[in-house]
Amino acid sequence: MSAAQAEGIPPAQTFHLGIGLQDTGWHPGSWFRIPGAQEIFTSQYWADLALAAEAGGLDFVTFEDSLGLQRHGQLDASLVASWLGARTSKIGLIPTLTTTHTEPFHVSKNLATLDHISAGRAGWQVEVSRTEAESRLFGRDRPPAELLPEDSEPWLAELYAESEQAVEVVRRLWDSWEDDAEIRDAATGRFVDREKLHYIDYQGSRFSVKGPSITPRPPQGQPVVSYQGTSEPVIKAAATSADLLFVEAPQRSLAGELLKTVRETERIFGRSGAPLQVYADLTVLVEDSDENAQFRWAGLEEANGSDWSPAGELVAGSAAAVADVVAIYQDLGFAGVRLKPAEHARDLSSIAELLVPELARREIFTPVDEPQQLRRRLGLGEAPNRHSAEQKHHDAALVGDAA
Amino acid sequence: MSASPRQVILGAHFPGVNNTTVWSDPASGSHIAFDSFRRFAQAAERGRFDFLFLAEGLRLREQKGQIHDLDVVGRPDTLPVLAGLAAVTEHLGLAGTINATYNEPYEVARQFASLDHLSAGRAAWNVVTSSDAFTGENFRRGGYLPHDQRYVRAEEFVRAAKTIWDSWSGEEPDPFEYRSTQFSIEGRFNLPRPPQGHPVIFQAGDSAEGRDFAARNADAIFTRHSAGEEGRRFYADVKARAERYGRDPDSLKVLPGISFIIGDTDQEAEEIAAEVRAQQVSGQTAILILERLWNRDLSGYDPEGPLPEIDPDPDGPQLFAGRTRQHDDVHAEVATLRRISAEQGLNLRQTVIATQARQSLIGSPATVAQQIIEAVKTRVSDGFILVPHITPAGLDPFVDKVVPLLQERGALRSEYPQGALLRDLLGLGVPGSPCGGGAETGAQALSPQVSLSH
Ligand SMILES: Cc1cc2nc3c(=O)[nH]c(=O)nc-3n(C[C@H](O)[C@H](O)[C@H](O)COP(=O)(O)O)c2cc1C
Repeated sequence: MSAAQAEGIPPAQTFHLGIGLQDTGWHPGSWFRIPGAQEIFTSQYWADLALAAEAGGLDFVTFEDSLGLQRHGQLDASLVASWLGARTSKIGLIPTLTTTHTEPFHVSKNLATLDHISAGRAGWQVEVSRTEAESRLFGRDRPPAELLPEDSEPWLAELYAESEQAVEVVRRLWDSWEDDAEIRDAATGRFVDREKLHYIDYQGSRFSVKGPSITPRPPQGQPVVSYQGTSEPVIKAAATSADLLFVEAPQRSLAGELLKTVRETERIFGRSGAPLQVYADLTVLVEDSDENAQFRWAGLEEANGSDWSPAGELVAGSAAAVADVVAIYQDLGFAGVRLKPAEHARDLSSIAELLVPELARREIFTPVDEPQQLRRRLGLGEAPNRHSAEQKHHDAALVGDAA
Repeated sequence: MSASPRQVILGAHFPGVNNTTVWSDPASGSHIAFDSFRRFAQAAERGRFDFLFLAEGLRLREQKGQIHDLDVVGRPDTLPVLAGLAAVTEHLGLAGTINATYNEPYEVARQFASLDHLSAGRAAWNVVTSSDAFTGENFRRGGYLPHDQRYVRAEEFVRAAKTIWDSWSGEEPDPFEYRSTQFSIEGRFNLPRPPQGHPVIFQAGDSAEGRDFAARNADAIFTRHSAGEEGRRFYADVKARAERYGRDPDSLKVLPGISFIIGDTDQEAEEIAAEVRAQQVSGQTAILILERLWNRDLSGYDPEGPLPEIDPDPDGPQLFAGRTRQHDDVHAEVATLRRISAEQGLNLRQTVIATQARQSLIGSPATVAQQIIEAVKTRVSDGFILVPHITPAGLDPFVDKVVPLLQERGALRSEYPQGALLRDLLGLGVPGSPCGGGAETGAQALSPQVSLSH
C-alpha cells in the first residue's frame, strides 16, 4: 500500500484510453480497402482487432451496433463481445445494446453473461432505435405521428427516458441475486438461499418486470454502463443512470463547456455516487510521420470518392501529433479519450505500436498489463448490492444522518 | 464383415435445473462459470459429438409461491454462452433453446445469424413455446398465449426468421416482408445469409400441435420418449407426420434426451446408478415430485412413510410454476405409483426413486454402446441427447469409454470432416438459396391442415 493510500488520499485520477470499433473503421473510405466485403462477418476479423487493442494495453473497446441496416451490416455486437470474452483476457468489452425494441430482461442476462464469460470485463453502450424503419422490423408503430420526424427533440426525449427505465430494470436485475445466494447446503438440501434472491417488481410506463433474473449476479456486480452523445436527453440519461459518457465535441473550444453542462446536469438531477466519467471521442489516423498520415488520409478520401469529416475532433498524424491532442483533453479534465480509428486494418496496430508507447512515455497513459475487472481498471469502485445486509445498514445510517 | 450400423447422432445436454443434476456431489462444479461450459464443450468435441445443447427457462421456478431452492437455480444466458463456446471449439454444433413467445423474430433471426457466422455454420435453435402468465411477468408482452395460439405464433415466428435469413443472399440485402396472423414486419436485414442458409431448427414439445409444428418446420425433435415401444411409436408418429407434409422423413431427426451411468461392469453400473438415484431424490425432493403430480401441499407427509392416501387435485389452482408439464393422465400415474408401492413394499421416497428417477442407459461401456446402436438400428431414435448428472465432468466417462466403442463399430465418426457445417454432421441438406423476392405471407405459409383459432 502506498503512502497516499495509507493516508486515505485517493490516487491521482488515471487517464483512460479506449477504442471505438465500427465495421471497417470510421472513415467511410476504409470499406473499399478491405480484401472482401464478407470479412467483417467473421469471428477472425473481430478477434484480430480486439487482440491488437489488448496487446496495446488499451482499457477497453466499444462495439457500435444497431438493429437496422447501417452502412454495411453488422454482427450482433453482444455476441461478438461474448465470443471475444472467451478469447481475450485483459481488455474491457463494451458492446452496444439498444433499448427501444428489446426486452430489459434479456438485455440484463445477456450482459451479465458477458461479464461471467470475460471474468468481469463487461460494459454496455446504451443506444436507442429512433427510426421508423427499425420499428417496422418489429411491426411497431413508432415514433407516433405527433413526434415525427425521427430526429425531433420530443421523440429523442421519449426514447432516452425509456432507455433510463431500461437501465434501471437491468441494474435491478443485476442486483436481484446477492453474491452469496448460492449456498449448496447439503445439510438442508438447499442449493440457494431464497432470502437472497429478490423480486424487482418494477412498474414503469413502458414495461413492468417481476424478476429475479435467471442469471446470478455478474462478477462486477454492476457492469459498466455508458451512453454516447451530446444532446440534452443523452446527457440527462447518462447523468442519472450511467458510469461513462462518450462525447464528440464539435470544436475543441466547446469541449470544456460540454463538461460543465454535464456537471450541471448531474447537480440538477441529484446524481449520487461517483461523477460521470466523460470521454472525448477522437477520430484518429496514426502513422510514423505526419506526411505518411496525410498520404493515407488522402487515399481514404480518394477511395470514398468524396471528402469526409467526423462530428468531433479529427487528428491524422504522427504518434506525437496525436498524443499532443490527447494531452489537451486530459488537461481539459476529461476522464479519457475514446479513439475512433479511421481505418481499422491499419490504425489498430499503429495505435498499439506507436501511439500507446508515446502516451506512456509522456506518462499520460499506463498500458494495461494484467487481467483486472473493468470497473476497477476505470477506477469506478466496488458496486455494493442494494440488497446486501451491509448496504442496507449503510443506507439506514445515511437516512439517520439526514434526520 | 458386417456393414456399418446406422450412424448415431450425439448431443451433449449441459446439466439443467432439475433434480437429475446432482449438485451436492464433491465433483460437482459451477453451473455459471464459463469454464464449466468450456470443459463440457471440449469433452463433447473430444468425443466427436454432433452438438452441445442448452435449455432455457425465463423465470425461476416456484412452488407454493416460493422460489424453488432444492435443485440447481440460475443459468447464464443461452446465446452469449454459445458465442463464447464458438471461440473455444472448432467443430461442435451449438444448439440453444430460445422461446418464441417472449421474443421477436427479427431480433432472434439476427442473433442466430450472428452465431452461425461467428461459429462458421454450427448454430442450432431449439424453438420452444412455453408460455404462461407467470413467465410473462418478466416481459413487455406480459401476457401469454393459449396453447394452440402458441404454436401458431411459433410457426409464423420460424417462417418469419427464414424469410429474414433468405433476404440477403446476393451482394446486398433485398427488402423483406412477412405478414401473418401474429406478425406484420418488413425492412432490410443487416447480415448476409448464414453459412448454413438456415441454422438447424430443433423443436421440443409433445402435443399433437407440437409434433405437427416439428413435422412442418424442424430439422430435429428433442423428446422425452427414449425407450422401447414408446420410443418407437413416437418415432414412427413424427416421421409419418413429416411424410404427410411432403418431407423426406429422414430430414427430421428424432433425438431423445437420455441419462446414463457407466461402470466397468453392468453390475458396478447398477450399483452406481442406485447411489446416484438416492442423491437425485432426497426425502424433500421426493415429496416435491409427488406434490407436482398431486398438485397438493404434501409437506405433512413422511418421505420414509407410505404414499399419501389423499387423491390428487390436477384441476385445482396450479401450485407449480415455470415447469414443463410432465403427465398426461395424473390419476393413472398415481394409480401406477400405488400399485408399485404395494407390490414391492416401498415407502414414499423409495417409490419415487423406483418410478421417476431411473437412468435410461446403465451398464458397462460395451452394454451402453450396444444399447445405443440397437436403439438407432430399430428406429427408436436417430441418436441421443445425453444428459449427465454432474457438471462439468459428467460427460467424461461416456467420452472416454463408450465413444471409442461406437467408433470401433463404425457408428460414430473418428474425426470431424474439415469445415463441416452442423447440417453436414447431422446429414441434413442445406436449404437452397431462395429465388425471387423475400416476401411471404402467413396465409400462404401455413398449410391447410392448420386451423387458426382466433
Ligand atoms: C424434452 C423437452 C425439453 C424441453 N426443454 C425446454 C426448455 O429448455 N425450455 C422451455 O422453455 N421449454 C422446454 N420444453 C417445453 C416445450 O417447448 C413445450 O413448450 C412444452 O413441451 C409444451 O408443448 P407441448 O404441449 O407441445 O408439449 C421442453 C419440452 C421437452 C419435451
